[in-house]
Amino acid sequence: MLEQTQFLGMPLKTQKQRRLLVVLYYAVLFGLAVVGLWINKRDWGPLVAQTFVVGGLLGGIRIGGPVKIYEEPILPLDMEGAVQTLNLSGRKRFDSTWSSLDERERGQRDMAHYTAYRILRWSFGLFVLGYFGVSAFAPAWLADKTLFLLWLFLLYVLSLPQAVVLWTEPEGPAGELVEVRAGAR
Amino acid sequence: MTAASYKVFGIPMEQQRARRKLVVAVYAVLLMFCVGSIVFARTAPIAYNWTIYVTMAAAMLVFGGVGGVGGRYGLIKPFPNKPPRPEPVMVDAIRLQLAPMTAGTPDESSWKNDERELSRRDRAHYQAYQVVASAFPVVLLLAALGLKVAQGSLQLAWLTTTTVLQSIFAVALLETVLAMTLPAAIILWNEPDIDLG
Repeated sequence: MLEQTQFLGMPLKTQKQRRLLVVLYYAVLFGLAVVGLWINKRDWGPLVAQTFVVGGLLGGIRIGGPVKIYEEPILPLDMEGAVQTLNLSGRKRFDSTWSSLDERERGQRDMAHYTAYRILRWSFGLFVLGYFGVSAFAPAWLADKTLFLLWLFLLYVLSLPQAVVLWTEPEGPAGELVEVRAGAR
Repeated sequence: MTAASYKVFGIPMEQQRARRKLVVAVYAVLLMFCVGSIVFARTAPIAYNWTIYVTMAAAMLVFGGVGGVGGRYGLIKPFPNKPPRPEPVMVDAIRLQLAPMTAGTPDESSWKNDERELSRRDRAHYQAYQVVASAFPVVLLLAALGLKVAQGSLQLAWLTTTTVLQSIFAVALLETVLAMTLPAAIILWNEPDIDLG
């Protein structure tokens, strides 16, 4: 289910390293939350435009992250097609960026989403309770920050299954990540 | 992936066609409650409570999959795949008096999912997650729209802050109903006919 043994300079060969990446990712989101709630900024447009980039940083929903993308990516103008790439002989490209998930990976993907669904059910309830709790004390401040909080929660929702995959990916033999399949990065 | 009983209100549910009709009927009722809540929310915001209660009843008693009730209700075995909580001693004692043959721990087949059922459960949650997660960007967009209207940077005769807030409420309510019922509904919809032999 993983495509990379290294991400943003961080090695991901052991389970401990992958869990550290998850903790760091959410620590950065938390830091962003603290900064965003502290400063008085009205225009979050440029940040919101990067929602899927930030939410999909760990992969899964976009190419480029450590977790393999869940479904075949739909590229504009059929950029992988024979005409666009001038690959008229039909030979497979060496640097093909996507290979379909095998049965184990599909099972792992589905299991991660089941776990993420359960976590989301509880965390959404806590989010709503916390929101109403704070609104009893500082309603005007909270109304001002609602958009930003919703955006943060959206990032959390987008990233949760990938975080579960990284957290639960087992150790391979001798503590090393199992070699990625031929044809994938 | 079904519990011991394949009937809902006495109607057998072994056939896929019957289960699909059930799913459509349940969602039609839930949609009626959602629309009612949205209409009444204008004057009585607490009206959504009834929609949530009915959704919980549908999820627990009709669809199933909810943990803790141990496969006693609903068509689908509990998703958590854990044995049911033991009932209070008094309940057991009463049951022993009324039906001695039911004494003892519940049959494992009523709550334990096999490998195929687990993979169906996980696949249904994968599909449901995409639907549920897609509602959050909609709420975010509506909230951004509401902010623009409140700040005065977007002025349309028919668009007010109240209208936007009501739209957010409607989307959130529908999403809550789906989140509570969708994985089980997907399983019931896709599960092939059950052959009881």
